[in-house]
Amino acid sequence: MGGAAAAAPFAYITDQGSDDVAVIDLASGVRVATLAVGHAPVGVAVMTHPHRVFVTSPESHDVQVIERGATPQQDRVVARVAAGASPVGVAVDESSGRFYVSDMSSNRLLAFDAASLAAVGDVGVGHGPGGIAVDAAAGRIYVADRDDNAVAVIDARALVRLADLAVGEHPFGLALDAPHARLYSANVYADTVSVVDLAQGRRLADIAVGRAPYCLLLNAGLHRLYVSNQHADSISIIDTDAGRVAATVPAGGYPEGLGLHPDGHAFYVVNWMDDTVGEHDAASGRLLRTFAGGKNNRGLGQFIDAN
Amino acid sequence: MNRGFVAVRRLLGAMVLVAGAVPLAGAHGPTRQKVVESIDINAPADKVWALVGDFASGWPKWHPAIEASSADNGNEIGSQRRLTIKGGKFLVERLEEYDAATMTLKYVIRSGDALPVTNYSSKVTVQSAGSTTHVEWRGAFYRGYPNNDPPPDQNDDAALAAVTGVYKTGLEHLKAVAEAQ
Repeated sequence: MGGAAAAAPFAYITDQGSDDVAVIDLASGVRVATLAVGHAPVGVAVMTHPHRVFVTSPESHDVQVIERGATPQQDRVVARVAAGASPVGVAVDESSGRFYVSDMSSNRLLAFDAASLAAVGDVGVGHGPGGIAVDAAAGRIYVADRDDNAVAVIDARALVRLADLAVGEHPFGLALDAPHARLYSANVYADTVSVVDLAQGRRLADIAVGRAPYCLLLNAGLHRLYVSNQHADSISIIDTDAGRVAATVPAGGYPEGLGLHPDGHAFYVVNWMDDTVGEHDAASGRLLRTFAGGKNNRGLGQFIDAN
Repeated sequence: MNRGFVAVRRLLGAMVLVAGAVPLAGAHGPTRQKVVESIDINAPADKVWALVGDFASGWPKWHPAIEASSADNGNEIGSQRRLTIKGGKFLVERLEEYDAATMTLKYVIRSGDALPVTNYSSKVTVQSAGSTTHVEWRGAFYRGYPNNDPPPDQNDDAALAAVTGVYKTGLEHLKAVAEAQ
């Protein structure tokens, strides 16, 4: 590790094989801290207020709470919060000060206060809930119900399930484009991305992508949606205006988690098979650099901290 | 957790064993596993690829656990092969990628009872190193039992041990067969 002080942004990458989170300085690509967390961590979500990172560990049935320090070297795991049977997905809502967790074996969405860590409620969703997308302004939470081929729509304030939106087969990752009232799902078994019109409450189209698509990342500035294709070792780049794939670019082995640099010039791909993080040009998708990651790294969720 | 509940879960576990084939797609456990094995062979790459690259019917020639292999579409993408595995077991595998130029192929298990895994995908790469050849065989999969508290023969360790055994044994025999030709 270098002597120069690291500066944000940082990537908080969950290493399912080494029970820790690798913190990577995105300017240098160097790991600047390692935080021991629960067994086999998967999901991750960065929050600004409070300045914390939440990590799910389905094997230890909890969420680890990382308190952000002035630098990652000063980060500390300050709490473990019991979170159902198999907590997988995690997402934050800055406006309500909550974080949400999908419990894949009890088929529930759990809600917690991000500051006090108190459980504030939960709601039944469909079968095999994974990816979560939060529409803070509209007060809606979307949960991909993998085994139902559907997305549950939750009223965030009442924690009540309002509806289910049919999507493709085995949906996992979600991406929300709130200004355009669009929701996207990565359908792992169909090799497609479903486009849902939230105003009409129905699926408009399924876009063919690579094999076993997993995570989605919206780049609102460029009107692009990135899709990690686990079996094809590639990223599909969808033009969201045209509703079709604009380019398919190579990634590492088993690309999964996706994150966008705060200045929008690059996106990051967590390659589970290779234990690396790839930095890709946001416009073309071309690989710029490859960083060493952690053992069986996943990075499922919003893993980039701009602060 | 009361004893009655535990007893029911053990019974369910036993029933899965008796039933034979574990569900190979769909619900799976929380932690995907990977195995990466490799070997260096004192034979030229084209000779090794002739053995590995014949996905449809070539693998019984070098893998001791595979007794027979037949496929519905040769080595075309989408071809499905049925492997008869020692001990009266079988696997049906689908070819997902195939590149003779880079000597790489990828396949997934579609059904079968030979391995305690689900959602299994694999990649074999043959690389020339002059007069020798480097072969890498890697796989990604979940354990056979998808829920918590798996029985010991369907837990993560069992899955890892089984796949590692398939790869190590296979590569050692591939080396022996290729070098003997």
